[in-house]
Amino acid sequence: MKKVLGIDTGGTYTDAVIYDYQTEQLIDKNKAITTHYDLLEGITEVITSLKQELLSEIELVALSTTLATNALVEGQGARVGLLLLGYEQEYLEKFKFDQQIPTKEIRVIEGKFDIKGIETEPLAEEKIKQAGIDWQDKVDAIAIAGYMSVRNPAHELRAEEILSGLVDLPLVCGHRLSSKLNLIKRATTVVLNASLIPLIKELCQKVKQVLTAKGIDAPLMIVKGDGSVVKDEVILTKPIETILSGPAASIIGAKHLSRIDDLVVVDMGGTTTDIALIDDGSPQLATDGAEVEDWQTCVESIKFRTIGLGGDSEISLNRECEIKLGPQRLIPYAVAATNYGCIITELEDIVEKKLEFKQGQFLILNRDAEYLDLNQREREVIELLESGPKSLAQLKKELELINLQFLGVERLERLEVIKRIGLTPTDILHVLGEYTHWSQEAAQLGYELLFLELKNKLRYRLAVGEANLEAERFAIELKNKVVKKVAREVGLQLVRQNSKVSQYDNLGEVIEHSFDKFERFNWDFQLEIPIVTIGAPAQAYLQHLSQYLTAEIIVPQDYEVANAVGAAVAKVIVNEELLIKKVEGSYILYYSQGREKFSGLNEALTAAQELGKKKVLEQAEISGAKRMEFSCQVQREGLGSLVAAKVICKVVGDVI
Amino acid sequence: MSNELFEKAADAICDADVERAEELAQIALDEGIAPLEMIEKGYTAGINEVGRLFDRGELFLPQLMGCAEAMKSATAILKEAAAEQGSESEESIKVVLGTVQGDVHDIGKGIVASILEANGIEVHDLGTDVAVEDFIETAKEVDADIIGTSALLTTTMGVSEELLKTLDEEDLRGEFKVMVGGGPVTKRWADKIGADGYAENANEAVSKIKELVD
Repeated sequence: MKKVLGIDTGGTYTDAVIYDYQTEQLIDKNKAITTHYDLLEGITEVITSLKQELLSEIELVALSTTLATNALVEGQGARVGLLLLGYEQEYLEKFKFDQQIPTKEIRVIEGKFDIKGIETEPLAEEKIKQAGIDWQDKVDAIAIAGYMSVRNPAHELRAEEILSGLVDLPLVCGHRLSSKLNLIKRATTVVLNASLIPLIKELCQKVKQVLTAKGIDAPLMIVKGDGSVVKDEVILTKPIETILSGPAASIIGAKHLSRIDDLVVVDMGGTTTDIALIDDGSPQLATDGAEVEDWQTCVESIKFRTIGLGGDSEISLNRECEIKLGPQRLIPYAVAATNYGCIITELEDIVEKKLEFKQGQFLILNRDAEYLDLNQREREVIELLESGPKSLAQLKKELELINLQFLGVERLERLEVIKRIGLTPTDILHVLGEYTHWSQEAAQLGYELLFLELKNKLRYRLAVGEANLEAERFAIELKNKVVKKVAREVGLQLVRQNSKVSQYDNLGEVIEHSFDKFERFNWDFQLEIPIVTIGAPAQAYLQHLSQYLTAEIIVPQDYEVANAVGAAVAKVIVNEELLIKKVEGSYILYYSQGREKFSGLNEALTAAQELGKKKVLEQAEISGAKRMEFSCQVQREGLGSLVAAKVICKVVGDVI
Repeated sequence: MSNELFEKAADAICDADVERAEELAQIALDEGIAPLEMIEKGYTAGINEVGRLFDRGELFLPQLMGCAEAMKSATAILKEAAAEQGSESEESIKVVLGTVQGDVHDIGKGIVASILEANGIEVHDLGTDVAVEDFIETAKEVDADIIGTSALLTTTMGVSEELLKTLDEEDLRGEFKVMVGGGPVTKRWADKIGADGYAENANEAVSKIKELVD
C-alpha cells in the first residue's frame, strides 16, 4: 500500500498526485485552477477528479502551499505585538528599524546579554506584565525578540513564562526561529511568524475537513521552504517556515523525476518561471534569509530566481512596437473560448473592424463581490459582466469611455473579482498547432489581431519592404522569444552564483550575445550539468532551450505535476548547529536551548554530539519521521578566531 | 605670495614648531587667504610629508607627535575662522577609535588618532581597554562613519571579531564601517573576520578611511 497524496497549491494551478512508495510509481495525477481567495475550492476540485477508489487507501497527505507567502504579500496577517528586549527606543527610531519591523505595536523592554551570553542588564519583568495586560484585547499574537537571544535565550524564555500565565494568546520566541545574529531580522521573522499562526491553523483545519469528507483518513504534513516536511501540528508554531515552499517542492520533484543529483531546475508555471541550481542532491540555501514583499526575514529557504513569465503571461505591444512578455497573468483566449463561444464571435467582429489589439482583451466575472464596498463604476462593470465575458471594446462602448485608461477596475482585478482574457504563450502554441487541447480558432483570432496591428504600425514607421512580416514565421519568433528569455535568465542565475563575475554591468546582454551566431568564432554558453524542465509549459517551450544554451535538456515524465510529486516524496529533515567557543580559558557550548560551560574541548565536543543527536532525533520524531538516518559532522577549521568547533547534527527521515 | 606662505606652513609642521604654525595661520587670515585653502595646501602638505618621513624611518615617534600637535593647533585657528566666515566645509568624517578590552597599548592607536585629526577627521578616542559595548554606544551617539579598533596582543585581537558580531546582532553593519589594526593584525585576518578595512600604519589608515567613506 503506502500511498501518499501530494498536493501543491498557491500557484496558477493546484496539482495533486497519488504516489505509491512501494513501487515508486505515480498512480494518478490531476490539475485544477487555484482559487486564490479560498484555496480550499481548488483543493476540493483537484481531489474530486482523482480516481475516487484510491482515496481510501491513502496513508499520508503532504501539502505544499504558498498561503503564507500570499498572505504576507497581501498584508492579511493577524495583529501582532512585539516585545523587543534589550534595545533602545532612541536608536530604534534613529536607524529607522521600527519601519523595518512589520508591526506598529512595539514595546522596548530593558534586559540584555553581551555577545558571550553574559547578562549585562536585568530583565524589566514588570513592563512585560504591563504589556501583556495592555495587549490582551488589542493583538492576536505576541512576538518576543531578545538582544543576543541566540547566545542566551533566558530573557525570551522568562518573558514567555510571564506572559503565558497572563494572556491567552499565541507566543513566539526569536531563538526558536533562528540561530543567526541579527536582532532586527529576527524580530521581523518572529512578528511575521506570529501573524501567520491563525491563518495556517485555519487552513490545516479546513484541509482536514475536506479530506475527511472525501473519505481520506490520513495524517497531514506540510512542506517547508527548505524542502523538508513536518506534521501539521508542528508547522502551527512555525508557519513562517512555509514561505517559498512552492519552489522548494518543485526542486524536489524535479530531482525525483529525473533521478539526477547535479542539475539546473527550470520550473515554468502559469505566471512565473523559477530557476534553481542543485549541487550534489541538495539545493543551495539563501544565506541572507528569505525576503518576502519588503520584509527581510532570517528564514532559511532555497536559493532560486523567479521571473514573471509563464504560459499564461500577457503578450503585449508597447509604443515602440516591441513585444513584451508578462508579468501580468491572463486567461488564454484558447481556454476562455472553450467555455464561452461568444468570445470567438466578438473577436471576429473586432478583427473585422480592425480595432486596437488591446481592445480585444476581455474581462470576465470570477467570483462574488457582495462583501465589497463597490463604487459606481465597479458596480456598472460587474453588472455588464454578469451575462458573460465582455471585450474591452464592448465595455468602452457601453460605458461610453473616452479612453480605456478610465475603466477603473484595478481593484477588482487585484481581488480576483474579475479576470482578464487575452493573448498568451499558450495561445501561440495553439496557433502553431502544438497544442490542440483548447480552442485553436480563438487563439488564431487573437493572434491575428496582434499581427495586424504590428504590421500596420511597422508599415507606418518603416519602409514597406522591412515590414514584410509573415504570419507563420512571426508566431515561431514569438515562441522563440519566450524560450530566449528563459535561457537568458538561466544563464544569469548560473553566472550570479559566481560572485566575482556577477559584478559586471549588462551581464544579461552579454549572455544574450552568446546566443547569436558569429562568422568566424563560436561563443557558446555551455553547461556541464543538465537542465531539468518541469511545469505545464515545459514540454512545449523549455525543451527548446538547447537552441540557445549548449546543454542537455531533460523533460521528465509527469513534468506537469512535478510540484505535487515533490510534496509527496519530500522527507523530514532536521538540522541542529552547535557552536563551541573558547571564553577565558573554558569552553562554552551554545545550542538552540541555551549554553553550557566545559573545562576541556574534548568534553565539550562529546557533550555537543550527544546533545545534538538527542535534539535532532527528538525533533524528527515530533515532525513525523519514520526510519531515521542520523549524521554528525564536526568542523574545526575556518571558523574565525572565536569559534573553536562547530558540530552539525542532521536527521533525514522518511514520512511513511 | 600665498604659495610662499603655504610652503612656510608646511615647513612649520615638519619642524613641529607649534608657535610658528599658529603665527602663520594668523598671517594667512590677515592676508585674506581662504582658511580652508591654507589648511589644504599648506599644513596638510606638511603633515603628509611628515607621514612619509616617519614611514621611511627618518623621523621618530616623539617628533611625529610634535608635528601632529602643531598641525592641530594651527588648523584649529583656521577652522574657527572658517566657521565664522560661514564657509564651513562639508561635515568631517567621524571615527570612533580605541584599543580593545583587555589591552592597554596606547601608542600606536595614539599615532593613528593624531594623524587622523591632522587630516581633518573628527576622532573620538576612547583610550585603551575599551569594551565592545562602549565602541558601539559612542558610534551610535556621535553618528560615526568608522569604528577603528587596535589590538597589540594575539589574545585580544578576537575582540574585534566580537565587535563585528555584535554589530551583526544590532543590524548596524551597514551603518558603521569597521577598521582593524595593531601589531598582530594582518590584512588576511581582517578579511577573514569580515572587517571592512585594515591599515598597516597611520598614513594608510587615512587613505583607507577616505576610501571607505566615499
